[in-house]
Amino acid sequence: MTPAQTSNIEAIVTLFDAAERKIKAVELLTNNLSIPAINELRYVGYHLARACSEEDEQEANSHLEKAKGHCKRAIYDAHEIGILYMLKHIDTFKQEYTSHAAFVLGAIPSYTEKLAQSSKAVQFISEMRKKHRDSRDDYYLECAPHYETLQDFVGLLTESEPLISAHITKQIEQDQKDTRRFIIRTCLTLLSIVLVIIGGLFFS
Amino acid sequence: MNIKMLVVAFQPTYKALTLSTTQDKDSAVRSLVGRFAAGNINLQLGHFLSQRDIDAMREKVCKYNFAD
Repeated sequence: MTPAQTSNIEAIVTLFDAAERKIKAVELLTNNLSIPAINELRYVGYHLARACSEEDEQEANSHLEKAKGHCKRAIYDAHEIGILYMLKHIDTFKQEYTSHAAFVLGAIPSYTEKLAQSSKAVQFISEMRKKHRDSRDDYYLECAPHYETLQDFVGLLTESEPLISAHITKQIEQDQKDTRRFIIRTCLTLLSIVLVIIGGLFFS
Repeated sequence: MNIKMLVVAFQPTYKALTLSTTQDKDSAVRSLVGRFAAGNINLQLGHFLSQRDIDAMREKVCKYNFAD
């Protein structure tokens, strides 16, 4: 094995390790095992085995490059699933608290900015789907920042949700109290009017 | 011989599973994977994402609009 091939294999090991860790992290995040990402790692094994058994240097190098490409695709696929899952979570949150924007903004001042970042992640996924589906290994580094931004945002939403819910419950209780007071006040006013009319009739 | 009694005796308690909808087929596949999977708790529970699931998720997510 040439020194270049050895360094290539070292790079593959590093990428494989990163892919494996990300697949596990996403599995824990989504509670679902990603079959396509694991499938990519299966191909890595295949190409590594072929590279080791190949006598022709060019052919071995080509297999090593393919193995590297599959590692990158596995990393991309794992990140993408995490991004899709988190975007779904953000959308559900947005739908649920759409009529309580003031409370959300109170608990998360950077909410609008974070939503804009989420839109960029949607745009990235959409563009990748349309244009670069088969060359996604070239973009495996680009999805990591989106993943991390969304992870921070989802963490923030999860932390703030109980606080926002508490505010909403408090407001509902206050509204109910106000409504009750209004009804009692109206009833008392009507009753006093009736009493005044009856008193007027009685003394006239 | 009373064939009718035999038919009643060997009649299955439950009717054979009919996989009419895609959802039925999907849940059957998941339970089958769960039955034969070992070593991964999510697989054993039938919790996995196939390429089709991811494509459907991506399709849905691409329609999200957080700008409004």
